[in-house]
Amino acid sequence: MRIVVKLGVVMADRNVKSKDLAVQVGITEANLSLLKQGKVKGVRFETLEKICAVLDCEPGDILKIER
Amino acid sequence: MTTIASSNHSAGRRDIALRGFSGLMAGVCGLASVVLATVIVICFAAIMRTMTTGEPLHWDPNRNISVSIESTYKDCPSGSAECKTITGSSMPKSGVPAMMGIALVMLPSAILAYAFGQGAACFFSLARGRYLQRKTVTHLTHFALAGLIFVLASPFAELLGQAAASLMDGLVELLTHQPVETELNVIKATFKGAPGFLSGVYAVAMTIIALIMVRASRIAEDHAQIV
Repeated sequence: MRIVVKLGVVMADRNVKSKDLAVQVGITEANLSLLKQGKVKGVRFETLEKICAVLDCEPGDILKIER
Repeated sequence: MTTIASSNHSAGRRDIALRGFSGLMAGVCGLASVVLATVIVICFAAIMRTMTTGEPLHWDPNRNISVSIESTYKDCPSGSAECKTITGSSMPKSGVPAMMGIALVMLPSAILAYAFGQGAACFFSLARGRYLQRKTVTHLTHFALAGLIFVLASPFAELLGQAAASLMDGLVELLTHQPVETELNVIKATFKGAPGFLSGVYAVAMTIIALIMVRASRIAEDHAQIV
């Protein structure tokens, strides 16, 4: 069982570019890329809140559990 | 799995060793602080005694420790420009300037006693596993700064003391309208091995801090991967 990051899918659905999202959320493009790939150790609530505000989605749309 | 288990086991042993060693250093620094503070108080009391009675004090318990205090002051008769140097007599007129000067001479040693006290507090926190807490870091900062001030100030201690005594002489003359000149005695107190002990304490402290910085850098690396 692991957490899978679906941020790339949500971004594609809403046609949002990585560069624009990174600027609006306040993180670097490199960190956003690592987040999309699921290669980060954790996500701050503040970052998750900003991503959801920009993409108009729920945290559950971005983070899924794979059983 | 075996690799992870043995890695955790060796990390645990390193932690136990670090905490044990920190506890030992806490004891050493605490003892040094108490001993030094006691010596300062005894020396000050002995100086006061010598100043009031005029009797010199010489103490040589062994070849590693030697303390010598002698009372000398200059008597300047009213209306005369010449001052006589008098040894072995009490100095009532210049008592306050001399006390202030001697207090300043002893100030670096008092700062060192404070440094050892802060070192003991720091090592005690480390022994309890509080490596990166604010209080530990505060004690460490005070330990380091006080040690630095001691090293910078101790060569000038006698000069500072004489300067303070001279300033007070001026004030006493202004108030009493009588010429006063205080000459501080050279208080010789030597403790062989003290510089080596001091260097050793700070070298061990640097080693412990380096080991803790390794741990801190791992935590910082983990935190860098939290977006």
